[in-house]
Amino acid sequence: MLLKKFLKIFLFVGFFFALSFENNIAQVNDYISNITISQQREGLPIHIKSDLRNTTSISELTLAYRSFGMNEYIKSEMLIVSDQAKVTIPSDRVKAPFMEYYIIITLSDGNISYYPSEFLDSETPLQISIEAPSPKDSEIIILTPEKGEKVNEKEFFVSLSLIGVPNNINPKATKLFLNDVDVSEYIVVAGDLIIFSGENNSGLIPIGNYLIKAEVYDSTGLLYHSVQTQFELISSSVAEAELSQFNYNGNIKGESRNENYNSSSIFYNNLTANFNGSYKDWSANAMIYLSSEEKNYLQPVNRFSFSMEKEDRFSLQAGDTYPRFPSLILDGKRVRGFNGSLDFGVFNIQAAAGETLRKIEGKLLDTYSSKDAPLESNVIRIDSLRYSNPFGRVDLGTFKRNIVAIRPSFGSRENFELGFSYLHSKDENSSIEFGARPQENLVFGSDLFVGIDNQRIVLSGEAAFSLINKDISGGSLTDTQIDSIFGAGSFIDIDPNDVKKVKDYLGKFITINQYIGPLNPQKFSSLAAEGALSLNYFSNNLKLSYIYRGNEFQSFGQNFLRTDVKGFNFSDRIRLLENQLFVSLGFELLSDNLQNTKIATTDYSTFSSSVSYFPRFNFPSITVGYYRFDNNNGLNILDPVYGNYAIDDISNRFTLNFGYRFTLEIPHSANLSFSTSSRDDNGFSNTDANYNSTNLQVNSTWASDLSSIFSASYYSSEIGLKNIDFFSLSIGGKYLLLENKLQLSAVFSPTFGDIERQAFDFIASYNVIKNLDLIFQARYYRIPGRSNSSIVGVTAQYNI
Amino acid sequence: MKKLFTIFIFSVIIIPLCVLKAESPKDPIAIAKKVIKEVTFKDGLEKESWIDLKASQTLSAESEVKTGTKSLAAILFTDGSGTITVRENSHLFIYGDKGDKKINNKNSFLDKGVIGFKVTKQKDDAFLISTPTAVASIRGSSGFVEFDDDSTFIFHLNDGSASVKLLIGDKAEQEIGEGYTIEVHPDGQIVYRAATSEEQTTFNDTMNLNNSKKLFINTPDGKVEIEYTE
Repeated sequence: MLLKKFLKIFLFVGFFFALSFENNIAQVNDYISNITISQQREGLPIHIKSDLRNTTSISELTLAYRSFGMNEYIKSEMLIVSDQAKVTIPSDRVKAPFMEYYIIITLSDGNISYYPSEFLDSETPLQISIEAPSPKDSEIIILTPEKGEKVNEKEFFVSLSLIGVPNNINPKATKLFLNDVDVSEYIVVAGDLIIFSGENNSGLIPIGNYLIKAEVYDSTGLLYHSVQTQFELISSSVAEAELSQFNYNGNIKGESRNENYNSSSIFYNNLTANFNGSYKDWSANAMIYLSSEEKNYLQPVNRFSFSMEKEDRFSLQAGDTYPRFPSLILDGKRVRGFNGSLDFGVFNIQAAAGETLRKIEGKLLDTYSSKDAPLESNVIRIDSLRYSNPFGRVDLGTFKRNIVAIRPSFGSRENFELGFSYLHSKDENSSIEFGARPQENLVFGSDLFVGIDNQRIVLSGEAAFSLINKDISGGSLTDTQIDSIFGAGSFIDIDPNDVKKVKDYLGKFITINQYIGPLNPQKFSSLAAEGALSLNYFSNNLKLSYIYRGNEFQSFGQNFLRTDVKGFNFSDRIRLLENQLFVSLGFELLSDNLQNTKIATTDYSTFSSSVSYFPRFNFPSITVGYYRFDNNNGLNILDPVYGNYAIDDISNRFTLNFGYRFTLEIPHSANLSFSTSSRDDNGFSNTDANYNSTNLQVNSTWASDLSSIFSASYYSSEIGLKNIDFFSLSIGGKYLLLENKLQLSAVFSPTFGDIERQAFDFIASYNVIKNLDLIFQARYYRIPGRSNSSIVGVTAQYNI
Repeated sequence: MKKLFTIFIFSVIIIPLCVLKAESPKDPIAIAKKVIKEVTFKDGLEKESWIDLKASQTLSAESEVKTGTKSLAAILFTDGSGTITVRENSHLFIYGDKGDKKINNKNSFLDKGVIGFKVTKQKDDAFLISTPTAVASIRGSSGFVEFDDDSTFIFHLNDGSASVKLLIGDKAEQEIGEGYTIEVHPDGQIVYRAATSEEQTTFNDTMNLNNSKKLFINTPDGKVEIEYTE
């Protein structure tokens, strides 16, 4: 009853809240306590940072994201440093009106969890509203400072050109804000130019990072449009240091942390160092992260990388790199080695080489004689001279896995690009003693991009063919062995001469034996291809795409690619009212069982639609979405033979998001979202389900040194006969003291209902002397009747 | 003879440009972003005396900018079309007609010295940089232009696309490729070739606004700071 009352209040309050520049999202999750998302605007990269809890249980985090109309999620591994994980969605993949995402949490024990936790059941991702650029953006030009520029305080001035605005604009009514400080009274109007001189206003603008916001009004006093950019105001002494040919900055951070989980207590120590330098048009970056969690029986926790680049023509990264090749080949996966590119415009080449898995030695548990050895997957042949028996039961280790990828391409991608990709990945058989079935993978691919009429017409496509050998421990077969294994009446019914031909062609690239696949390449089982045509005319962004993924396609450069699927996807994003209103429609029809390896073919049809409104005046942004998922494999549940395999379910999902920045005595930014979905399952599993969730968050700035955060969320689910309802709150604030040298922040987050837990976070950061900060962090997390955990840590950071 | 020739060509370009501008310029068409050491200007509206140029100073059409030794001025056009970096010992004229939502006929006339340019992609008009002997038509690119005392014209294109039309000799027009340089000698001889590493360095130095040093002198009235380019 109380919950329902709260819901009503949410609905009422929701219409008054707004989109923030930096969203904080808190969900009830055992591994991620908070997500911070940078400014969200089409064409800008999105930086996502997640605060972790229970870090010892986490092995890997992967962000899965997609924009409207994309067939599937793009997966990108997150960089874990201490109790945070970070990743960036590249700017070319950020599309209005929204992005959907969730996080795959791979646990140390191999299990998978998700953020949000409910994703496993509901498959409802989180949404990020993406504002589209307005045509009016190009009418109002911020000439100085440039975006991201570091400006000497002595040379600082803002200049804004209104040359492109209509005649009914009143330049004198322009308002200029530096962060939230209104400096409009100091501006000078010179024709189409609006100038704010820092020289005349010294002391008004202290050193630091700034967001410039300019609001332009028409002659009737109505807001016409606003633009913004960011810059950093630096002191003269810092600017002088940067005048030298070699510029650099960096920091070194050491952390000691104690985590208590019930009665167990663990100390963690880690050291992070970052360095950025530039010399003329060369730039270099280095990062190292060393953790006491680094163990030789786990995949690496430590991270290190070095990169250097010259303008856009040459780049080289070494250490832990995340190469970005065509998505079917290698994208978002960590490679410890090298990754580089040379761009000449007409001809370019990109290459990556290194290790994707580190060797982890297995453990010998028991030994057997030949006649006693059981036929089990973890009973392998061992060195009988050393261990007295020829077979042993082992905890299987992990082979070191190397990868090499290379992609020559032609064209600059402005109008045309044709690329060819080659990927070879192989487990190093000799890297460990107790392991089984080392594998090898080979992928050939090509990709094409054609952009016509200033990329308003884009034809893009890629195709790849893979080979995988699932056990290379015995090496390649000899011709005699091929004759004995292959052929009519033999172990595998394939013409031995064909196998020999394949060996002649491909034996130089991959080990050829009876474990190589696919065995049915003529059925395109290991072919993956996709093509898309995009038309961008009359404010419509129309896209028609086709995908084909054979059931045996596999690239070791891609962990999460969906296979055994083909079909069409159609989407249209219609931009109206100068990019303030978006109507998005999408339809996707996919089916599986491409190689007839399943009992029946399942058709997956998805209809998606949304309407988004991003007003450029004082009114909330709104996104309403409706999705329908229909999965059916045509089998009758009453069928006595195949009834158990019947799939027949329909899901409907509605989403509603509000965002609003407003001033009610003080500036606030708020977000409110609703999501409800229901699944009607008439298949064999018969798992009808209903999910509802509501989230509200308000960030308020009470004074320049005091801000607060309030968030509340309600979630209910009904899966079969199991109901879960809970309500979660987060209340906290940040306070600056001692001339901003001391920063205190605290957040209390209780959860009530079927899930009960309480979390309290406290952080104190003190700038001891110039360049040196000390940070104390404490977190207490209680699950009544199950566990109490706490984290207490101290961090010292020195900036150079 | 050379001087007479330069004056003649100068007149051919400048005078028509001045005459064509029937309407008196009102709004500024450019603004000084950065100024180092000795830079003076004559505003297009009041062409009476040379005045010290300071950052944030607006410039009307027909303004002139002069730089002294080890000096620099970075000038932005108000339509966001580009930045001109005027290096030491240079003399530049700025032209343009404030039209509807844009500046038409943008022309930076280099009488002497070196300027770097970084021009955004132009929709309609090309961005012109002219000298007494040649006119460069730029369509979204960066590079530098040098006009020596001996009237040798050098145009280096770092990236993008541009063409150069000669105002002397056979008045030929040459498309310039990325990484290429064209030299036009006073006798009309043209050399079109791949850029040298020195020219690449000159380009980098020309576009680098932070390539300066500071000199501090203690005087009875306090410390005097002099910034100069290298």
